[in-house]
Amino acid sequence: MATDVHTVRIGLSGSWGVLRGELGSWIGRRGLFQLILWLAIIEGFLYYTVATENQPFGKLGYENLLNMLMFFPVIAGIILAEAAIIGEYHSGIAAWLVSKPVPRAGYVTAKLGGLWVGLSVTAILIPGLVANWWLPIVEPYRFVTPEPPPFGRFLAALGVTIVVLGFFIALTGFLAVVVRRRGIVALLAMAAWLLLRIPLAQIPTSWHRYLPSGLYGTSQTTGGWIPGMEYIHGHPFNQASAVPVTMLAAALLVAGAVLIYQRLEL
Amino acid sequence: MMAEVAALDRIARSGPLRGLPGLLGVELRVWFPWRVLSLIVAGLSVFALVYVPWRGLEVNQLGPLMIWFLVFWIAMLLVSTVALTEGAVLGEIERGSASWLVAMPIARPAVILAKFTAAAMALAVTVSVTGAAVYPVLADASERGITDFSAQEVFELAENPIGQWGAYTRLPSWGTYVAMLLSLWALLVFIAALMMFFGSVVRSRTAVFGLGLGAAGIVFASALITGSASAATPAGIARAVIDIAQGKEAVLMAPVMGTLLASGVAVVLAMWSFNRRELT
Amino acid sequence: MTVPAIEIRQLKKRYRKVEALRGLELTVDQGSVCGFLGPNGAGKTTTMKILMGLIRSSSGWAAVLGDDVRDAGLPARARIGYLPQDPVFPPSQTVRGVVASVARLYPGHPRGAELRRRVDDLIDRVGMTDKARRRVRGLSGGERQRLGVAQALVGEPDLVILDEPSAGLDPMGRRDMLALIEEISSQATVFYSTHILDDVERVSDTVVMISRGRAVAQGSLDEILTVSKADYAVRFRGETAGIHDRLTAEPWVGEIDIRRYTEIEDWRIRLADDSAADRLIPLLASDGACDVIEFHLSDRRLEDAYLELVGADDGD
Repeated sequence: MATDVHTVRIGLSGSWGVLRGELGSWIGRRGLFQLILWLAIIEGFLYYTVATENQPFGKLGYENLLNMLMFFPVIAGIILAEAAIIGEYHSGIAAWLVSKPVPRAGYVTAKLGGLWVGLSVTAILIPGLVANWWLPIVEPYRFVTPEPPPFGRFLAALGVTIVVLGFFIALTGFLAVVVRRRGIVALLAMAAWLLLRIPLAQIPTSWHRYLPSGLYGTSQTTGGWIPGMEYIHGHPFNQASAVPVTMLAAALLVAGAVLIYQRLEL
Repeated sequence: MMAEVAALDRIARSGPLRGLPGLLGVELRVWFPWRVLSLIVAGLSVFALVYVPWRGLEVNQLGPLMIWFLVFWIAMLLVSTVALTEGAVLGEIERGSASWLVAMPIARPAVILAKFTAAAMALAVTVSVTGAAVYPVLADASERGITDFSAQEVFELAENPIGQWGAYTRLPSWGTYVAMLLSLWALLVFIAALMMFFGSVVRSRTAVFGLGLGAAGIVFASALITGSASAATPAGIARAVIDIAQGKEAVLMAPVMGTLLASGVAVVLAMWSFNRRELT
Repeated sequence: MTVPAIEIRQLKKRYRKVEALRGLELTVDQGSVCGFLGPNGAGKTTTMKILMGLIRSSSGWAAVLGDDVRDAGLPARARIGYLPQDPVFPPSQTVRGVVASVARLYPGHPRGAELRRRVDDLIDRVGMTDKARRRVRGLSGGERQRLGVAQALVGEPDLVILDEPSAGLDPMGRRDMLALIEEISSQATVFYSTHILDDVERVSDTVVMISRGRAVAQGSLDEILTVSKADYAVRFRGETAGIHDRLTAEPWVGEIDIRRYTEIEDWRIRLADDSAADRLIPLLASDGACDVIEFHLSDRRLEDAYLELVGADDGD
């Protein structure tokens, strides 16, 4: 028993070391560059769609914001997750790290978790809050409601976006451990994002309550907005059941990735 | 002795494309047959994903079928081109095989040109085979259905996401269809050329992938959002293809010429950058 | 009785059709410096990777510091420092950053000023102080090796496993690396692989020779060097054809290596039987056509033993 506790303590220490390294890479000059890049992309695209008169979707500022936050950071998360897992596997950095007192489970979890936290803050939370500051000035929501959305609801919508990001990072991590070919993993993960979203996949309507697409696809209630948009404009979050299901799915994917990584030869 | 001198003389005179035929053969083996087959199968799968519900919904309008297929097929091809070319240059450098290659009597620009040419040839086969395979199905779909709707019926169709667009689509003539496929190929070639350039100047494969997706995303989004401002650009091709699918008039010449010119510039810049790059 | 630092029994590793290890057995005692010698493809790196838990054996058993490598082995890995072959580190990190980040992976690692002190001390030990702020991508192969040794030592390990630590080093770098290994050996067991036999002779007290996935010799340096037959070095002046014919006719004479110079010849005579030495001297002295200038037991070098033992295994 004492040995097990000792082993766990060593494992946690090593895993925390990897996580700390991952989080550390989002701070400093590199993190600042990432933040500026994300602000430019999100705020730039959002301003373009809102301010340009010809755009058919321009008045739905918050809808555009949430759609962008469900797309760009997810794509970036897919690319960075496959680079972290597959790139380090092929380069030998993964072997070097797990030769230290770092459990393989801790390595995989810290890599994906660190990426999720870093990207959530840099690409979703901060750009979202900045947009929430200037969108009421431009007042695009008047197409929908006379008042800007309540801050609490807006934060909750950002939280749902972060959950979606976590799912796709977990999915990419799982695929990366199984396939270990960079382009193919990215393609598969992006295809999954697309197929869950589009109605062509013919997923029965009721299933969306239990799939990640229930969070970033078209709401089955209003038929036009994504559920986060419904919620911030006062509607109930009708597909809220998809949140715990998505989180559970993400956890299962990470667990699956860890199980497979334990058996990988490095 | 004379034969050796003649051989060395040929090497010295062969210039910046020295070694291109051999390199091209190697690069073609990377793409053929499995990558190309995978792309064709994926394209046909996208078509099946669109066609099956289209039949099930009994919309009987060619427009929705063509539009949805083309939108998703173009998106798939753009992302696939980026994913399959992101490691073409930088992967070679990271593995060390680039240093080994250029240590031989092979011109550096030929390395880039061979990779680009092989990708262009593979994409040509992909687009033409997939496009030819779906044309008979599109022709059959065109014959099935109702092609004239009243404005009210069109408005009601808009309730259904699949029926939203393209009430006035007619099957393009074979010539227009081929022109459309050629234009699509030009768009993909542009993305491949950009990826060669990014790989030659950037140090991180992740960054190359991100830049490539960003470029593809800008092209795609611009096509969906903007109007005539994108006419002579790659976005103009995507816009024109979707317009044809919606039964509208579209001009292909300007965007295709602009895109091929941009591709040429990107490849030349890639060759120049790679020529100067230190292969540490 | 202390547990061996490394213990391997009947270790086998198969990659599809290739048998990388074919029943390897070895023991490395704690506190020793063990040189792991073998030709390319013998299975050295495979063995080290199995010990570090990076790959799994097909069969057999191995333990480091008493822990079976098939278990999680975290407590053992916390006591091991490892330098892989051709080490790769995050290219954008600095030398100091790499060592510090590795330090933080070990339980009970120092913090703050003490961590900085330990990192600086290690960087100084491997001679990289002036490059502490340089990024990994700007390091030469030899500098990466030095960084690799620094990061292997950061956890104050009881066992240090080094895969080809001298690879890519210039002669001065090699000299410094050997000095470092000697220094480390006062605090930890060292198990290292190399092709450079001189290095093994200089710093190792035990040697394991591996060939084609099996150990062909193991023991102290002295044991390895005397494992084979006696060699005698003889220097002649004069006509030696006659003495050569007489020696080769004797059944107790094995190989004779001859080096001819202008006026003298250096022979190395291998006897098939150690006890035949007392018959050799009278025979050498009996020929009047030549004079024996020098006669002594040949300095048997590790290279000789290596070529003999590994070569014999190749001949099977």
